[in-house]
Amino acid sequence: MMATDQETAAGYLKGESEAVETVDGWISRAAWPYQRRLADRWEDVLQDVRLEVTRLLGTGKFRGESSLRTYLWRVVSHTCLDQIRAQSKWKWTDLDGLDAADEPAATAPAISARQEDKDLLLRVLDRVPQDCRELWRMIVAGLSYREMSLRMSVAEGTLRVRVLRCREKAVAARHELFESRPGSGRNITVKRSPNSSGGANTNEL
Amino acid sequence: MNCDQAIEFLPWLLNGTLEAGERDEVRRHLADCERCRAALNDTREAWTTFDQHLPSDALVALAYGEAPQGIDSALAERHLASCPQCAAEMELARMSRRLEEDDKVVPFPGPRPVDEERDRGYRTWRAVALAAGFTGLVAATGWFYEVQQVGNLAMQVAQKPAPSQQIQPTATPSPAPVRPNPGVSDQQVAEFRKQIEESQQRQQKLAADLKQTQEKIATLSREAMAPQINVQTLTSPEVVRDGNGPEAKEIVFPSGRPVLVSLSTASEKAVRDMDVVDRRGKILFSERGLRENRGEYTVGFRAGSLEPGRYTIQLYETVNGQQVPRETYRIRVE
Repeated sequence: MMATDQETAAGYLKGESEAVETVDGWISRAAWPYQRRLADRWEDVLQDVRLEVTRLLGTGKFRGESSLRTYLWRVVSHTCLDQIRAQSKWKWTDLDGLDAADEPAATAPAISARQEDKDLLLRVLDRVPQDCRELWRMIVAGLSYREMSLRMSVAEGTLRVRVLRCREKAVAARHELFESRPGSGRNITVKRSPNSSGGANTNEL
Repeated sequence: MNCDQAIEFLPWLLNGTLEAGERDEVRRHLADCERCRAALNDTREAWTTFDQHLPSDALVALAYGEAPQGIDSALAERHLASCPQCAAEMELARMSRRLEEDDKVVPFPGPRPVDEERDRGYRTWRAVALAAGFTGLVAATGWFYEVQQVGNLAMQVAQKPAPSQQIQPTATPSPAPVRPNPGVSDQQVAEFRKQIEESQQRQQKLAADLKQTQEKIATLSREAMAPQINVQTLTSPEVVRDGNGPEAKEIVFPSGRPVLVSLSTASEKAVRDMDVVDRRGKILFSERGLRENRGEYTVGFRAGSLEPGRYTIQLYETVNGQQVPRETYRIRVE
């Protein structure tokens, strides 16, 4: 007889072999498409997923709005995507002593992790021309201006000026959108490093 | 360096790719220039903007055909169309969903339970370590035996009265105090010395063997522990359909992309076993109990799971306990 989702969840938390085998099988299958991208972090990520599943089930986050299988599938996808992103983030160079931390906060309307800010930032990006996005994608990916110049067959000086113009467009679009939104007086500070959040940040589904 | 030049370099100062000389000049300039420090802040803002991607929960929601929470759906669609990174990750989420919805999709190679894979790796490593350890033990035992032999011989030589020349003990253990022993002849001394030399040679050979074994252990352990997977960027999967029968044309797909292959069959409700065979007839993968779904068997090949070349997918039906070949598909990986 097939166990219900609640029975499977309870069995998994108690370490019953059948439930553990079922859940572990789902996790492995759900994570299969991500295996290649996660490469040598694969085992660690699977362990993170198991811990996350244990935490979610243990704290009663699974409320039966979908089947347990679908719920776990989404947790796995979520965790794996976060891990892929965390490992591909390019870190900012540490510029201790040169940061504009002592600059007026008004010059730095930036981001927080709030969902509405995320939406807003995507809108800012949406307003920037596609060629600017491609240029900056290379910078964010860690290419030097010489590599970019060779790749694009553009003189180094020309490339640097183009990048600067794109930066100005992005900053202008950002200020325009952030200032036009309701409650724009909120003081938001620049996030110091895009990689500072570290590993997985699985939202509770 | 003036302000204009410094500001142009800022994106690459942040991504750490400036050469040392350029970096130091920009940093010196920034230390004294408030305007350029503000520009550095703008550059960070721009970086943050250009590094925006759909949140992973939005990607998962979109993969499940739902509207992402907190993000306008049209905006998300536009972003997906222009961001290769998000598009590639979305495909992974979709493929995962497909594996959830359809148990008949067989992921290849595998699915191998993770524990089994880890256990296999552990067993390989354990076997290597045990074999190497045993070899090392044998070599070390031989070495100690030889050292002991040399010590004994040296002691016996030392006990002989020295009529004309002093025999120097050559072995490492400290010799016993020299006491004259009139019972040992010159011939015996010569014999002992010969034995000592032979023993030393054997000792050197064993030491060389020991060193070689240790190097082998190091090599094997490196091989056993090395990551087995090459990293490749995934792009969108393809669904390839083809007819059955030995005359079916080749299914061609690239090795660097995940592919779902739908193998059509004329038999309904038939259960098949499957082998993927290379040109030399070697079976690379096998799967038993493949279930038909609307006249098709679906097989997922992970990117890079097959080297470029020609392969055959052979399906079998089990009749009275015997495997009977049925559909044959030829595939070419490029």
